[in-house]
Amino acid sequence: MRVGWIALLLCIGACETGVDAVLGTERAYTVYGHLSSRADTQAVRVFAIDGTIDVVRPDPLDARVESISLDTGLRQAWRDSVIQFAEDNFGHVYWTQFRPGYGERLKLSLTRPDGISSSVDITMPPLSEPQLLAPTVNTGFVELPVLWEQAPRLNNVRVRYYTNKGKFDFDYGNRQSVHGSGRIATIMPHQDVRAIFSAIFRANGSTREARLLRIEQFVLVSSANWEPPGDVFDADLLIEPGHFSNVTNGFGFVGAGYEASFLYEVPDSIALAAGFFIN
Amino acid sequence: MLRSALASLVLISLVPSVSAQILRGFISDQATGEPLTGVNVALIGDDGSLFGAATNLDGIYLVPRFAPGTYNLRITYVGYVTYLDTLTFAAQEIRILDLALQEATERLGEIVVEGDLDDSMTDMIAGMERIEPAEIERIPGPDVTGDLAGYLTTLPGVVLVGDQGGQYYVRGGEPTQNLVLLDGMLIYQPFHILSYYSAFPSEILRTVDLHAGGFGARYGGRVSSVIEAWSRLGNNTRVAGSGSVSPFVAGFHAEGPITPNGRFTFLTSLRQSLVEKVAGPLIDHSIPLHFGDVFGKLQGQVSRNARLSISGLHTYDRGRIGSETARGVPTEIRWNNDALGARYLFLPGSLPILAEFLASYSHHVMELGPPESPLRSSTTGRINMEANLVHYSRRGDMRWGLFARTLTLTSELGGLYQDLNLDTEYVTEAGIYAAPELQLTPELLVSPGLRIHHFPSKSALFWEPRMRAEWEKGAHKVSASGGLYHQEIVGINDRRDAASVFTAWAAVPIGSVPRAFHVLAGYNRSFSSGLQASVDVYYKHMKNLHIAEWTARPRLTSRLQQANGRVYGMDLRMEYHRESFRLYANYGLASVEYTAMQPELLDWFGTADYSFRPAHDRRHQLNLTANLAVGGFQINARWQFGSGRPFNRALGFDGFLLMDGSRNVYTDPGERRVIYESPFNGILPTYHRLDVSVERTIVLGPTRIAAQVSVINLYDRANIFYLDVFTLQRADQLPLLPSLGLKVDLG
Repeated sequence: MRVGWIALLLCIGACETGVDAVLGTERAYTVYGHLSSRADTQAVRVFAIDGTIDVVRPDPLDARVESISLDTGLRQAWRDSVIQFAEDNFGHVYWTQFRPGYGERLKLSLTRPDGISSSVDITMPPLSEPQLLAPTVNTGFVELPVLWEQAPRLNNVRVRYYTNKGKFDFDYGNRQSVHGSGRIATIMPHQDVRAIFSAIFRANGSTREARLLRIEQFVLVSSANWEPPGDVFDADLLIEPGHFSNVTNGFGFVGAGYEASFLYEVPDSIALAAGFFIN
Repeated sequence: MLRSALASLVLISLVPSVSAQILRGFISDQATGEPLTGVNVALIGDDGSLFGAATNLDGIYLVPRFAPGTYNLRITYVGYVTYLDTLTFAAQEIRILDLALQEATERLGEIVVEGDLDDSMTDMIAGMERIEPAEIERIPGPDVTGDLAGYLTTLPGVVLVGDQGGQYYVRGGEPTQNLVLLDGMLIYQPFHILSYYSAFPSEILRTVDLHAGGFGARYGGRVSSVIEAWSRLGNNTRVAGSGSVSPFVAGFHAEGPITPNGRFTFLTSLRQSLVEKVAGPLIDHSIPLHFGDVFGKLQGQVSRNARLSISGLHTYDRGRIGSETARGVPTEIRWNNDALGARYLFLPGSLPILAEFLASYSHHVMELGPPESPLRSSTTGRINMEANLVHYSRRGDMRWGLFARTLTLTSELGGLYQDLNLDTEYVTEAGIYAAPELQLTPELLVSPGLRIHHFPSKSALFWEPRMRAEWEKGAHKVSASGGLYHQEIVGINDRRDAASVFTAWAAVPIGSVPRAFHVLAGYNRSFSSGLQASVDVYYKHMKNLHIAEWTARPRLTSRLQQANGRVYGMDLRMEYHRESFRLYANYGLASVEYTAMQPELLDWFGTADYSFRPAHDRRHQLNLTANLAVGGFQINARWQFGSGRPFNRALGFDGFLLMDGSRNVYTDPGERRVIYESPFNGILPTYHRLDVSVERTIVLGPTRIAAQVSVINLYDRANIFYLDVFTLQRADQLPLLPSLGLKVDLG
């Protein structure tokens, strides 16, 4: 009996107390970035999937990164460069020099020394030429729809107003509508003019003689899959691993796109309708 | 049955007339003057008619509505000499009979079994357990004096997540959902930073009622449980006191009469922790915790019909919870409780009514971070006025009351929650309740209740029905209770981190008011062989709880969201008591589940809500306590076992860049991210611990000297407290703690 009690005590004293806090994963890498048909150098940020959250050291990742064109078969080896963002905070940016063609399909793969790899299929957006569709012009209400032909998707839409009192920028986010095989991003001067006049008034004490000269729209013509759930780039939502990811056996998102712009010389009738002075 | 219930309700709700005779009074212990609870007072007429009552918590009894004539009076209480007398009552006579009963041991000079009914550890009725100081003293602890905190950890439905931080979860409810009262004063954070201790040392306690759920209409404003402690009156025959010291705590208490006739008494207690400077160095383990408490009470019989008591409490805590990791030492946390209250008990001369008036002020401060510039802080002040009345009648008692409160709540959260910026709020609340107690048959007592709780400053009105029923026949007791509960004043904290005990009190900051529905039932059985057993089953459904939002961000700030929850479980208790040996065993089975409803869940997991086990969901809990008196030594041992609690397990860590089209991978550092498995999907190792104490008491005239040797965590189990999933470093609960305590009782 006594031996039994002693055995019980020894057993419970020695039984397992350890805990596996981090299970590990067979997924290889997390990768972010985008490829552009208008850039000579392509780059993506690569994160290892670590066992601790300690800040990233400048240690090599040992990742073998390459891209292959699914259309031409051209292979590109990507090289690591260590970027120091802050003290004890380093990042790995893999880059290579080439310019993918419009509409080209590629596969980017990232392979660990143990052979486990992550990969991303990327389709470059085709070349898109912007054109202004029929504007809507009434006194105090002006809308300028810009059609981006063949654009699968627009992101990062911005509008710049050039006036004789300075330049004024507006972020339109990813506001757009589908039109045939392209996208329409509409410039809305009637919504922006109040902010422009307020800024001019603050700077000059008056809005007299404020004239609108031209408007320029900037967009990132993007691959079709570069569209977040709910069409909103909400960091609190998108930070969940695996959410809005196109990386196979990994995490992150690699898009494709190029910066483009449309410049519009504003006729007096539209500037006047929008609320500006004319000569 | 229904007709009987309705008739009883009508009878007891009528304003009592003076057309009947009344016998009432106060029954106390002759040696100490302390009130005796549950004393049976019986008037037996010549024709065999029986009129009876039992003393309440204050030792007060009242036998109403019996015919004029001569009766045999019989007053009985286990362990005390029975009082017999013959009384003759004239018409309309109100007789006041105060008695001091003599303990049987003193008179007879023989050994009697201590207690019996009152100190059983299985006596939970309708979710309520009455805890006596003698029960608290039986639990081995690091100190020679007992503390309520040590006892609570032996209960099957109470989960303590760590021996630091003082966070007690009762039947699935959170610590901030417990209503903790001392002499009617609200104590916001009653447990000390070293969880073996609370503001309730056994020396000052008369009784503690733990309502683990289904509590009655008198209580409200919390959705989980009620812990109501009542302090002793203080010895009215002589000045007495005690002093104790151990490596953990040094304490002192004194009590005695203020006036020569003993009508007014005092009781005071003072404790100061030594753990940081003595216990820690003794075992070569840093325990940076400091705490203490001061309690004082004055009370007396201000008139033939009235008693007045004034109580005050101050507690303070300071320390660093957890252990040092690669991220540095834990942040210091501090809190204070201050409470001052007055209680006036009044028995009108001509009416069978007991009236209780309470006025109290409670103040609580909690700070996290350096004292000169805290990162977070919360200050709460509460003024409470309430009246509680009991109308006595032969068919049952009518209990009702009303209350009014005003609160000032000030918090600075330092960005703990991104969607919450608390400032100073002023809240008022008022309400009324009624809870008749209907003795439908000699075996069956039913008490329906209703509480109406109004928050004028929030334009909120809550109707809360309650119900309690008890059936007792022979050795069998069956009970059930239930009700609806709301909590307008909530404690905001971050339960994702076990070491984070900072709590800010606020009126519901987002969404709807938390609400809970309780239902529970129990069965008790006494066996003639000294064996008692009970089983309780319970279910709680909770709505609109406040929890942190799920996020892959590693930082400990988040947004607050509302969630629903449900708890069900079963408590099994068994107690065997024979001569000098007592064995108490209990097992708790519980399942707690929260369902979160943050909008992102649909995108992430494809479901609008997500159910998970919160970190305090301990599924199985076993407790064995043994007490043995042998050879002049008192040996106490306790073994606790708890199954592992859930925690957030990670798959790994990577980084996050918001790919919104404007990111430059060369210049944007992004942020670190946790790849979690799924919420609270990991299970920590099981918890178990053996505590043993051996005590020897020597009596030298009026002085009793007690020496205790104790060992906490006898086999030095590395029980995990919490796991820092980011650094993979764990903090364990305290290791093997030997202790030697000495206590001297004077008088």
